[in-house]
Amino acid sequence: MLIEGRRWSIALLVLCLAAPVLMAARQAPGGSGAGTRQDRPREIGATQRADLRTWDSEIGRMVREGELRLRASETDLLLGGRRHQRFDQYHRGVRVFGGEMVRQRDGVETVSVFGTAYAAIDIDTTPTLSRQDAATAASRLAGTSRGPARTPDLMVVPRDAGGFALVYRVRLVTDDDLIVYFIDAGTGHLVSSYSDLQTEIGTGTGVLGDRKKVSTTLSSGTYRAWDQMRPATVYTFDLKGDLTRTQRFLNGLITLDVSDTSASTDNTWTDPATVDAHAYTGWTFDYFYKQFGRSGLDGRNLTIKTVVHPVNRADWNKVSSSTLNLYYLNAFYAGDGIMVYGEGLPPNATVGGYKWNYFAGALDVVAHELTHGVTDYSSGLIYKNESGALNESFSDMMGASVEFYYQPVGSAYLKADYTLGEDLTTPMGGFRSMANPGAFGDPDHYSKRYLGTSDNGGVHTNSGISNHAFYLAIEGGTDRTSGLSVTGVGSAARHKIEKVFYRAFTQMLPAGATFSLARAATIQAARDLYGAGSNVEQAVTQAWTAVGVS
Amino acid sequence: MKRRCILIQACAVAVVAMAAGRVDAQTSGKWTGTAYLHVDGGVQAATPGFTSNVTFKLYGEDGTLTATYTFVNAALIAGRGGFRIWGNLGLGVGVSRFSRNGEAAISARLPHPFHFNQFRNVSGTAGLTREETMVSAELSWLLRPTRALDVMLFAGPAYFTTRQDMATLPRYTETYPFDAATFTGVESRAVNKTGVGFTAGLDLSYLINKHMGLGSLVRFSRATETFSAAPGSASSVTLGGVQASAGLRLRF
Repeated sequence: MLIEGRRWSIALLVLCLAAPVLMAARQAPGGSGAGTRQDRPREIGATQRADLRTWDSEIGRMVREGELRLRASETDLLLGGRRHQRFDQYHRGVRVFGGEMVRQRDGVETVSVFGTAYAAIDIDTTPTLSRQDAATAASRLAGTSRGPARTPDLMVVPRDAGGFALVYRVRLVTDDDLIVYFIDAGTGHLVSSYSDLQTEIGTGTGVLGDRKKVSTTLSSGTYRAWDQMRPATVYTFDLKGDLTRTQRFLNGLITLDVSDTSASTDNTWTDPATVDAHAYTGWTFDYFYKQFGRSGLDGRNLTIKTVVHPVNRADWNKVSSSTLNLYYLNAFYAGDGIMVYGEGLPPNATVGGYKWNYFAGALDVVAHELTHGVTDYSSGLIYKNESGALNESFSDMMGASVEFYYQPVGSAYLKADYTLGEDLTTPMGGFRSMANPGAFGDPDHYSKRYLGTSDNGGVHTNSGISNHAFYLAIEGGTDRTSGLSVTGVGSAARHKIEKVFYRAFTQMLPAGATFSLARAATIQAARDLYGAGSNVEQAVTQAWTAVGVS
Repeated sequence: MKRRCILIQACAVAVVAMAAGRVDAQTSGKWTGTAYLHVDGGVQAATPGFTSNVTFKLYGEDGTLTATYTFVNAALIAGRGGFRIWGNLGLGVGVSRFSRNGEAAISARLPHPFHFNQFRNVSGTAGLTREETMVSAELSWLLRPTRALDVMLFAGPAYFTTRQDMATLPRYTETYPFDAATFTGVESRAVNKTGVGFTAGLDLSYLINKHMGLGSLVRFSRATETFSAAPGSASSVTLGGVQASAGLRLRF
C-alpha cells in the first residue's frame, strides 16, 4: 500500500508540476541568440535577410533583458499584413532619449529594421536629485515656475561631447518660448536644452457669432494672428482704423511686421473681423490645396497678408464717398498677396437700406478676393471688358465653391448658396446671384451684356454670364433669356465642374480671354479631365450655349 | 487559461481525496513538523483586462484616448513560509511578484487644428507594463496522505501593491492639411495603487527526504482597485488572478 500511495503522490505531483509548464507554453518566446553588441551609438538600417536575422535576435535579446520596450505596434494601412513595431531603448529601467528601433514585419517575417541604438552606456540610473529639485533648477534657468502637475521625466541622454548623462527632462513655457531642459539628475546642472516652440491654435468668435479655430503664434508673450501651420504663412494685420497707414502700406511706403498683426493675450480672440479674415483665408488656402493641389496664390506658397480695420468705423459718415465705397463697403485684392477687408458700418448705420458688417465676415467674399490673387499669378486676366468679367466671374465661382466646401447648403447666414456676399448685410442681401443674375440686374445671357465703359467695361456686370454658365453646368436648369435647358452634373459632382473651370481659368486662358475663349477652354478642360463626350463636357457645352456664348 | 487552472486544481483535489482515502488506513495524516518554507517560480495567468478613457485638450477642443489593456501570462516568483500552530493547522505568509508587458489597444480622437468637430481617428497598440506584488497572510490546513506527500490547503487576506503604466496622451504625426494623423505611440505614466483582497490555493509537496522536497501550487487571488490615468479618468482594475508555480519545499 505504501508503494501504491507513492504512485498516487508522484502522479499528483507530475500533474501539478505540469500546470505551470502548460501555462508557460502560452507565452510567446522572443527571438534568441546573442546578437552583436554595439560599442558606440549606431544607426541601424537593416533590410537584408542576414542582417535582419541578426537584428531580430538582437531585438529579442534586448527586449528580454529590458533594454528595449515595445512602445507601439501599428498596422500598415498601405500594405496589408504589415505591422510596424516601435521600441524605445532603456538603460537599467530608464528610457534613453533618442534610442529607438522600428521593425517592419510581414506576418512573422521581418522586412526591415531601422533605428538608433546606443551601446556602452554604463551610468548609474539612481538619481540623487529629486524631481522637484530638477523642476526648481529648470525654473531658475527659465525665469518661470512649474506646477506639480507636470512631473519631470527621468532619462538617459547622450552628451554632445560624448558619453551619457542621467537627467530629468523638464518642459517650461516662458514669455516667448517653450524650452525643453535636460537637468543633470546628480548635480542639477543644465546638460542641454532646446526650443520646442510650436504654433498655437486659438479660438474666436466670428462676425456672425460663430466659433472658429484660429492658427496663431505665441510671440513675446502675446498670441499673434500669424499662421505658420500652413505651407504659406498668413498674417492678419490690424491697422486699427489708421487709413493713412493703410494707404502707405498698400503703396509700399512702409512695411508691416509681426507687431502689427492682430493680437490676443490668451488666444481667445474677440475681434470678429480678425477671426473671420484669418480663419477664412486659411480655409480658402486649404480649399485650393485639397481640391486642386494648388500651393497658394502663386503656386509657391506666397505669404498672404490680410488687412482688417483699414479705417475707423465711427468715421464712416465723415469720409468721402470714394473712401466709403473702397474701405468701408468693399474688399479688394491689392496685389503681392495683400487682401484688404472693408470695415462695414456701425451697427445702426445703413447704406442702400442695409446694415453692413465687416467684409471679412463672408466666406465667399474672402475666397473671392484670394482668387483674384490666384488669377493674378496664373492667367492674369486683364481687368477690363470680357477678360475682366471673366476675372470677376472666376472669383465668384471659387467664392461660391469654397462656401459649398465648408458650409451646409441653405439660404440663411453661414449657409452655402450661389449668392455672393449675402452674409454681409442685414437684412440678408448680396451683390450678385449666379443662379439668377437678373435678380441683381446682371445679364444671364451674352445678348444682354453691358457694352458701356463704366466699371472697366462692366466687369462686375457681365460676370453674370459666365457665373450663370457655371451654375447651370452644376445644378442644371433653364436660362431665363434663351429658354435653353441644361442637364447639370448635379451638386454631388460639383467638384468636377469646379476642376474644369479652375483648370481652364488658371492654366489655359490667355490674359485677354473672351467669353468665347472661356467656352472653348472649359470644354477642352472637361475633355481632358473626364473624356470627350462625358456628361461633364456635355453639361459645360450646354451651359455656355444656354447663356448665348458660342 | 483560468479554466485550465481550475480544471488542474479540481483534478488535484480529486486525486488528493482519493489518495487520502487510501492513506487513512495506513497513516495518521498528522503534521509533525514545526515550520515550512516554499520557494517557487511559475506563471501568473492572464487576468481580465480593463479600459481607461482619458480626455485631453488639443487645438482648443477636447480629444479622447481610449486604452483597452489586455494581459497575457507572466512569469512570477513566489514564496511561502509559516509555522504549525495547532494540529494540522498552520499560519504563514505568502509573497508573489510578477512583471509583464501588457499590450494596450489604443484608439484616439484627435481634434483638427483648423475646424471644430472634425476629428481624426488614430489607433494602434502600446506596450504598457504592470508589476504586481502580493503579500498574503495564510491559514493552512495540511494533510499528509502518505509519508512523502503533503497536501496544503490555504486561504487568507492578501495585500496587493501594483504599478501599472497607463496611457495618458496619444503620440502621433500629422502633416498639412491635417485631415489625417498617424499613431506613433502613447505618453504614459506609472500609477501605483495598493489594495486588499483574498487568496486561496492548494499546495502539493513531494518530500524527497525528511526536510526537502519538490512541490507545486495553484492559487487564486483577487482584489479590485480603481486606477486613474488622468484627472477625471477612473478604471476599475482586477488584481491577482490564477497563479501556478513549482519549486523547492523545505520542512523543519
